[in-house]
Amino acid sequence: MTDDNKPTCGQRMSACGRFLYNKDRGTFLGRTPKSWALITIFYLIYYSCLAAFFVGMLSVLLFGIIDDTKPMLTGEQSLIRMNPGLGMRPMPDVERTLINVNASDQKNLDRLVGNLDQLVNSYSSVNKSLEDPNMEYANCNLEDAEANRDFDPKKKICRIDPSKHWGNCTSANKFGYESATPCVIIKMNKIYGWLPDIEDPQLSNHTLMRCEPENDGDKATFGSGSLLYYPGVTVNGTDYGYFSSALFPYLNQKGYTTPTVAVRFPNARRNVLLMVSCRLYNIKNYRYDKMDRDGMVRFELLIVNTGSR
Amino acid sequence: MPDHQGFRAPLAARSVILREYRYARQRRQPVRVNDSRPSLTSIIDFRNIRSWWMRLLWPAPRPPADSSADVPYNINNTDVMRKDRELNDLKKEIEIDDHKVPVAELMQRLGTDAESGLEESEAERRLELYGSNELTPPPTTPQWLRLLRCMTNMFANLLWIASILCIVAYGIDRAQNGQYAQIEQLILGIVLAVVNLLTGCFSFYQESKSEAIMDSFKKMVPQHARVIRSGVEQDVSATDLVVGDVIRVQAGDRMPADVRVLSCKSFKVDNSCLTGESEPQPRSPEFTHENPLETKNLAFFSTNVLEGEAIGVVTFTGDNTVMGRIANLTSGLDTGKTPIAREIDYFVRIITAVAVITGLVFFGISFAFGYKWIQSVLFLIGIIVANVPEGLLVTVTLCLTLTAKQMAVKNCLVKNLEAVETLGSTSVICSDKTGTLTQNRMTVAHLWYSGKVYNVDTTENQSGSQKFDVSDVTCSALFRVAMLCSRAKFEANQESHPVLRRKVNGDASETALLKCSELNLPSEVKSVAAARLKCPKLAEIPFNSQNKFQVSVHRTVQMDGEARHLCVMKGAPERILDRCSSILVDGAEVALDAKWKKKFQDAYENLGSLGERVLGFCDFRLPAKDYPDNYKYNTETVNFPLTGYRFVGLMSMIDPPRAAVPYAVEKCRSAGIRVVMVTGDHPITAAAIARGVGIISPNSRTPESLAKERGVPVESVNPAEAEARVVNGGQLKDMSADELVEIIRQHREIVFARTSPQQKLIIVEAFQKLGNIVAVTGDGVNDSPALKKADIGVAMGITGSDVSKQAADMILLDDNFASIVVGVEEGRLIFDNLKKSIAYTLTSKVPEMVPFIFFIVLGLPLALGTVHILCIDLGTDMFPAISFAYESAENDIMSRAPRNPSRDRLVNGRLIGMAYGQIGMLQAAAGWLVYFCIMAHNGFLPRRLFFLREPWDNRTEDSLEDSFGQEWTYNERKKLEMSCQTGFFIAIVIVQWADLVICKTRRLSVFQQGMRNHPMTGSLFFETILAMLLSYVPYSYMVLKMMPLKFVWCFLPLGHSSLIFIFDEIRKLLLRRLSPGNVVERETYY
Repeated sequence: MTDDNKPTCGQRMSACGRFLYNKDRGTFLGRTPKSWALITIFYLIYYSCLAAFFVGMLSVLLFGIIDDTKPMLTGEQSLIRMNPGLGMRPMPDVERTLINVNASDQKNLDRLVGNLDQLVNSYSSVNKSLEDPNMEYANCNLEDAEANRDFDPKKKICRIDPSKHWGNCTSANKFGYESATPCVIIKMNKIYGWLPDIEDPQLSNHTLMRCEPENDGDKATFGSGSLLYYPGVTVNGTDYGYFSSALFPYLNQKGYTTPTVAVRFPNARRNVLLMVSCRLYNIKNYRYDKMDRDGMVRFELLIVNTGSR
Repeated sequence: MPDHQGFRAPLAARSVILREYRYARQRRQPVRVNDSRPSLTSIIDFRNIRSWWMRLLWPAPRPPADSSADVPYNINNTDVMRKDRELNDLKKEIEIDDHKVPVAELMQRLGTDAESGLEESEAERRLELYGSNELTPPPTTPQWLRLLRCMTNMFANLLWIASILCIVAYGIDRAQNGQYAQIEQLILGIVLAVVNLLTGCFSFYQESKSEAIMDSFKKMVPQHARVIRSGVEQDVSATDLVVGDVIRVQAGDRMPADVRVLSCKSFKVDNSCLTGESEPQPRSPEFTHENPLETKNLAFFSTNVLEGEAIGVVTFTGDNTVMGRIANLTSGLDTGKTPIAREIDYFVRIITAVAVITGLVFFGISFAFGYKWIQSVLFLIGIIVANVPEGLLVTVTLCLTLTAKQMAVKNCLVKNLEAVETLGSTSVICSDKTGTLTQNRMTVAHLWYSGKVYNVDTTENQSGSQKFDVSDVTCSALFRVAMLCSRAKFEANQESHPVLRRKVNGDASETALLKCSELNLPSEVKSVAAARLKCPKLAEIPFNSQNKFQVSVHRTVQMDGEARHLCVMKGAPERILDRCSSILVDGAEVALDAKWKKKFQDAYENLGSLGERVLGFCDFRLPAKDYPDNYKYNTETVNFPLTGYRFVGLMSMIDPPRAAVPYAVEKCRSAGIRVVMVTGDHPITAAAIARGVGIISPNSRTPESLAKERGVPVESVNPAEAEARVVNGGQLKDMSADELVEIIRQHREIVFARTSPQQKLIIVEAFQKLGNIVAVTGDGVNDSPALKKADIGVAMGITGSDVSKQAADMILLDDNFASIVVGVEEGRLIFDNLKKSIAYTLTSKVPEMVPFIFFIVLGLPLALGTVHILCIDLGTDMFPAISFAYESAENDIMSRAPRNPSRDRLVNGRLIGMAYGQIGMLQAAAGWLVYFCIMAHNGFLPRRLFFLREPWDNRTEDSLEDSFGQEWTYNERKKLEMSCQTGFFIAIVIVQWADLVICKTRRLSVFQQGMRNHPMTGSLFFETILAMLLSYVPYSYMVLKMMPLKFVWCFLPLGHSSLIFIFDEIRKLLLRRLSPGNVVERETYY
């Protein structure tokens, strides 16, 4: 094309203007209002039909075959597999796993304790509605799983009293945060139908849990004496927390509460970042992968020396 | 033009300046002319050129009359202006008077001597000073620059911007989130860059390949010239010639420079590559014409010497030769973009607009949703990038390449990939005559004897061969004269070749006669050579322009063994007739009375009006007693009769059209393409050939034929009444550009005759001004400016000159105009198929984009990752999209009009509406169906998913509850997400099956079109297998983020797939069934 065929800026602008509104043909953006109306109606109908088809297909594929209370895929079929993950509290900031214990920073302490109180409250609220007639609320014997045999697992829910279950990690003593001996609650993820496959019943009938420094060399940072677990057991001279087998299986029972263990750091070194990782022991149907962070929980604990001790 | 004489410098001064000019361009420097001398502009002033031939038609400023006109050439210092000036200067012609001045003066001017030539040392000095005698090759772009250009077309630039945006986005992300930044962004950025690089390299490779073929065309035969220097004749390389050299050329040579003839012997040159005239041009030392190209005493660089020999003095060398000027004009022309490049630009603009608008809309929405602005910017970039069809550039390039390959098989070599499509859009073909439409070879077309006209087969392969009844006495007498009265003979050792292919020594008409005779030998004669041997030549008076006849005396042996001599004569028919007293009719000699003279006159005029060159033949049997066997003939005193001959007949010759041309022209016509002839040849010949090949259809009338019909002079006929018109260069030069445009508008069938290279250029520009896409075919140097200016220049591979091949975009390897039809067909097909391919590719953009939008707006965990988008765009979608190149046409694409470049776009609103608004949405729905199913089956019911984005993507959230209270760690969630994304990916692949099938056709049902495109069917399987591999190969989750899926999930999208198919079949059914121009067509027929 020769240069004189190229439209000037002015021509372009006016062409653009004509596109926006063309007086001669009465078109906005290339269409007359009637045409716009028709095309809008067409798309409305088209998309409605499409939506209807979509919803229809979805209802057939989901609500037709999925139980209200039970996930469609469980066990090895489900992508969650039989692989319980671990979580921890307090976690006031969802983005961070650092627990900064600074007794002089009251605001921070309040947030940490408040976060744990929420957990306590969730337990309490379940405990309050104990009178639900459809459920059998068992006074489970957590230590002895065999004792709970008689319950229908579908209706069995173990009542957990957080004021006792976590030993002296209670709301009353601010979970040890004021005394710089913080408690961290380790919770085990609910997985529909998961039952612990105990590896060695001789050691324990329960799923064991233990926290260790992330790096072996940091052992000293945990201080003298070991961590305290509630509920805990000592197996072959090593302290473990345990998730009682009585708490399983989770079958989406109403009022089921996540199994938890409290870990207390009584003598941890001050002003040092403790890198803690906790994992499960004594079960076979469990996968642990340090690289993938499968089957473990990891957090950092920093206890700031306030000079009181 | 006396009024212009004032601008002409005194002769002496002019000669100085001319010399300056002669050398200056060689030095590639502007000429600095002393102010006291007349300016160069006044010398170049085209108005001084009296001949129409050299005139420039473009209105040029009249030189001002005052002395301020005498500005030095280099007064405009800016390079651009100088370049423009140079080009304009090239469009004009410099007036030369080297042919006018007396030889002595010229010799003085050139500082040389006619006898001894230049001094050796002077020649060396000039060579060193002014450079060697060769054409400056067109400026070649360096390889790296060409590579760069391949990588920076409009589309590539879009990808580059996307790539940079990705990397910027990653940078922002990285600065914000540290190691958890989305590495996918970076990967995408890099992949885009790599794709760009690869595509660029690929098209660069393609281009280089055709470049290499081009190089092979250049015949690098070193040329030699015989030059007289210091009085000694010697052989030097033609490149060492300098102005002033005295050279000797002979038959078979190529003129090594522009030369003024000093002395010669029956010197003839073939100017067809410069002027398009196929007839040999005699050259002699006399100055015969003002026009340098017409005068007999100039011979031009690169023309061929057909006959005789000559001594001449070199007047111009290298780029300053006439040929060099045309070549430079050609390389200086700006060609503009190919139609397909314009379409792709338009397409990129649409895509960019869609991307930016959706991007900005959702930027606003995400802002309103309370995302941080930096997050919103990331979303904006994400949406823009997701909108870019990464694979499309590769697809388009490959489709064009495949078509180019198919065309190469059919003898159309495409130099520039984008030119593949151009012929398809072409609305006007300006075809050169000589060598393109015709065979570039004089052939006997008609005989006239015994009062009747006989047709001769002129086809290349003698398909309609009918031998003449040579037992007829008259006929055999005619052939005998033709055989004997001729100097042409076949070169040795060619018996195995077909007659028409054999090489002949001799001029074009005698060659034609020789071949015609050889093909029509009486049975008892083996060959023309044998016949001549039987009748040895005793004397000969060769043809000269005064006599206009050629006569020779032969010894023949009669049946009774008695030797008698025969005079045979041929020449201009009216001159021959004057020398005859009788005529041979049906074997009997009758008196040449008024009746026969009238018959002769009618036949002569009749044949002449066909544009044929007519020769008359007569003979005279010498009485044996007056001319005994030992009679000594003297051609000086002419001691034998030259009158009283017996007239035997006429033979007429023409350069006949190629056999395939009329069919091809007809095909073009039915395809709505105007075929216009633009030739340098004479109007009558041009018109005859135009009628012969159908450029002027049998029932169209020209103003001339109208005038004849009505019996009025041509001037009184309104040209507008005629359908066809023959415009010659003389008329053209008096026309303004607007008048030319008017003529083009008025007449459907036009022949431009006697056009100069510059005029060809102007004709092309006039057509382009009317919005036409113009193809130019040609083979000569004189065509090359037009070839370059045309939207697509088509050069001839065998006969084409190097300059024309350089200027062209496409080369017909078999020189067959009919191959153009193939080009048109392929071009139209690829345009349609690219449309389909783009529709197919764009459709999957919607399901690729919606997940991201829902991620932002509805907080749904991301349903399709960047990696998956790449897997689709550069993986599964790729081969099906390319396979569209093999799709056959839906209907007869050669019976519809060429597309209107301003209305029929490659990508239009309807295509976007179909791809994005309708099919794309259906596809997205299929993807979401799979997504929600996988999520729900694993525990996340749809309602749980909305606005779950933040905890879902939180790495520290290790216990996110699903609808059934199960708690998912980050890793478990991501695995689930990957499964969903894989499902979404598979869903897209499956709905793209349907999309592929529906995009196969734009109007027909797929049941009508069939699934005969095997590469496409193959690509369906390939795409499926690839998708399966991607998702099922172990560990693919680590790289591609894909998880093996439960098989049932793969079948979920089949419902939507069939819905797409049914929907589109119904749409196409309505499209076909409703009346033309129906609402379905208006809204959806892309």
